[in-house]
Amino acid sequence: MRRASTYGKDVAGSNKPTMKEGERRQSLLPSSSSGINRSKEQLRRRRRSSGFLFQQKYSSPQTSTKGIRVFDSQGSDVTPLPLVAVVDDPDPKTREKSSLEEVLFKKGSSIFKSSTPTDVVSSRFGSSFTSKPTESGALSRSSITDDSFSLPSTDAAYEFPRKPVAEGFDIILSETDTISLLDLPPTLVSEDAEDADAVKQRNRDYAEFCSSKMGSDNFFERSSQTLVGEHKCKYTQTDTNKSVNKGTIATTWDIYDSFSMSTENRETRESERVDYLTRTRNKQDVSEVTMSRETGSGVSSAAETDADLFMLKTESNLEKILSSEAFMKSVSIMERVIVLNIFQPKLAAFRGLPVLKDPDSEVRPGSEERITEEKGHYLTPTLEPLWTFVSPLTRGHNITCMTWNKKNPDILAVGYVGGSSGNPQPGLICCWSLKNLVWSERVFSCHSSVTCLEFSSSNPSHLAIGMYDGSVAIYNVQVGDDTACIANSRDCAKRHTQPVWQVTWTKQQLQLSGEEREEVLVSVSGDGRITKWLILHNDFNCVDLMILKRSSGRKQSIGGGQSKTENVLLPLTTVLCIDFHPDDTGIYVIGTWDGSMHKCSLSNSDHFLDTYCKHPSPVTHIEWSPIYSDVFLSTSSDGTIQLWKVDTLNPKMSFTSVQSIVDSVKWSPNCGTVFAAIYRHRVEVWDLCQSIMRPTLVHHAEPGVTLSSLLFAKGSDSILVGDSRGEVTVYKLKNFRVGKPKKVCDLYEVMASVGGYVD
Amino acid sequence: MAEVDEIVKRLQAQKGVEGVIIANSEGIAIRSTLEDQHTVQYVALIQPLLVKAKKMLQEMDPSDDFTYLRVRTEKNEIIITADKEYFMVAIQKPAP
Repeated sequence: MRRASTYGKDVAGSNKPTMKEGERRQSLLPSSSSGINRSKEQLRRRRRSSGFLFQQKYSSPQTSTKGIRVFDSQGSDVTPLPLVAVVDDPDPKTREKSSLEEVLFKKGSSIFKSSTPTDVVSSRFGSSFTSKPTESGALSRSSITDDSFSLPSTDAAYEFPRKPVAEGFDIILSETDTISLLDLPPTLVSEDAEDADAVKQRNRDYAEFCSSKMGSDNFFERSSQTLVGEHKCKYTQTDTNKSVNKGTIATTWDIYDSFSMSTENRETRESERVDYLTRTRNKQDVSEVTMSRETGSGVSSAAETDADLFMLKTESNLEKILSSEAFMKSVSIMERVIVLNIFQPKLAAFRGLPVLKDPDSEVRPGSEERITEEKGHYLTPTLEPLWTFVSPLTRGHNITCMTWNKKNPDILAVGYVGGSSGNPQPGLICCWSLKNLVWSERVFSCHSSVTCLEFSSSNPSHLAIGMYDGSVAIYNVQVGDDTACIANSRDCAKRHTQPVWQVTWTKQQLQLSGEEREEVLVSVSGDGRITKWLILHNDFNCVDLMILKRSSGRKQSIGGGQSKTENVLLPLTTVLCIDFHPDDTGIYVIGTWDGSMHKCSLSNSDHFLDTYCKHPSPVTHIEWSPIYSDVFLSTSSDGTIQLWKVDTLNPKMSFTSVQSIVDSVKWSPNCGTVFAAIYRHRVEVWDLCQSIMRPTLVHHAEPGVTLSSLLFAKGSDSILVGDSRGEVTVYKLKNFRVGKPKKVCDLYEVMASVGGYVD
Repeated sequence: MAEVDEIVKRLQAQKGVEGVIIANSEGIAIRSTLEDQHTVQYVALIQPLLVKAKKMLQEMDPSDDFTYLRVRTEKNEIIITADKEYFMVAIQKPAP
């Protein structure tokens, strides 16, 4: 627009009043040249005829004067002057002007920077103007200008068409749509509305407020710029998080260990933690060990201890290890294993197993002889010694009794006399196990010599013993120390006053409950009493089953006997032995000092059922046959062994070999016709199938040794002999059945064959 | 303590026993009747064997426990009993 206005400026006067733009134009360009003036006049003219369309003729692009002419209704030439200086006659004058124009127009356009002559300038003009026809057309309402129109018409030749077009063309200018930058539609409230007054009042207030804003001190115009904070990069440095790969394998044993340990050791661990501060480092080591064990690693905890704890720990632990219980256990296991290695052949012979020949042992010439010897012909039965249960503790003590454990047949209890017999010295009980032939598993000492003992069958760990001073005690062999004695009759008021010669456990039928069987301990002693012992509320008490008096007054004897009044001052018969019927436990047989044996019943405490009199001297032992339930053997100091049948009052058979006190007789648990008897200096094994007149096997004791106790081993062809040296020797019955006829021997047949021996 | 010594003596006195070693689980010998060099050798070599044996048993049956291990060689027999904190080795020549 400015450019156009410069042209209008030169034109003198007549066109003044129309437009401001034109005046401006006029003012801008003081100098004028002929060419330019002319063109401006033309421009003026064209200005007036703003409403007319015109056509451009490109045939003569040179000058606008020659080209289009616009005439108004009066016929005056109103062809507008070209805005752009005509280039057709360039003279040197125009060059100056152009330079002036350049200077003046410099602001507006960058085109004029060139110092080329007018033609370039005008061409630039033309180009500039021609290039914006629509644009200037858009703003044309508020501004004057035909100049924009006219210029392209005059100088259209330069830029517009590249090729001259024969006919003219139409340029249609139209208005664009209104671009509204802000549209705030007013809210109209009717005057009649209810809140019209309020709205009006609000409007008034607002107007007042706006007006008061202008000059008041309360308000202060100030502009502010919100700061957009500059972004700044800030760096920090941190330690990298070190990652450690940790894995574990949950094996089955691991799970089991942590599970069982968490339930069991929780309390112990807590208590250890509580005492952590108070206890010494030793305890800390223990807790560490248990904690480290829980990490799930089966490898020893050595790797996890600190170096400085290491030394302390080892030193203190060494001693602790040695005294720990588990260590004792392991040591005993080790001992057993070693002993087993040594005694393997013997034990195998004991159990009847084939002896494993050690593949690497050297074969000695002596053993070969023995082998050939065994394969040979009929040999005399002998006792082959296998091993000896002996230990320094027991050496020199006379063995009085031996018994196997009812449940675990590998455990043997042996009772020893303390000191010399007759003196009440502390007795000894040793429990031996077949697994360790060298050292006894348990050793208990009693206040008096042990005369008899027996294991209970309902509580297999209870061992009842009878002692020389008349007391009866029960020991629990599971416990190894002094608390093993469960019950002792020392404090009992009704205890025996004489030595207890035999104790036996027997299953008794409870009267109330019928079928149940309770086991009771029955003892017989020198004071003539057969008593039943009970443990009630930790009180060891006894009930007399029967009292035997020496006089025959209370006995239902065969010989009738004198009737004597019951008199507590009468001397009582010593009962030396007792044995219960294996099946009918209400019946038992006792042997007394005076040689008579009585069959008694538990239900009848006054009278005997039967009396067996044969022995003139004290009956030392009675034993029912374990296989034939109505046969029993009895032995006495007269050196005879009598075989009885329950019903007959006379012995069926009698065996005599030497005139010596028979201390004991035992049936063999394996074979119904075999029994063994122990004399003071020999052991005799009788096999009734082979001979009823002579013992099948006789074994003499070493000189100076008295054999005192005998025991068969169940399931094994062995017998155990205890002697006065305190040794229990285990013998194997060798060649016992060699050459035996194949028929199975029955005791009844034997007895029948004897027939009418004594009846 | 005295009991332990007594037992060890008894073990040593058994027929054929050549040596008895007691060591803790870290491989330090507490008691030994053999020479130091042999003792150390035995302990160092037996320890991993024990660990292996225990682990094997635990894998097979977690409720089972290791009692003892015997290694029979041509010349003798090595018997090892062990617990969590220690193990014991006895070397025995077989009875001829």
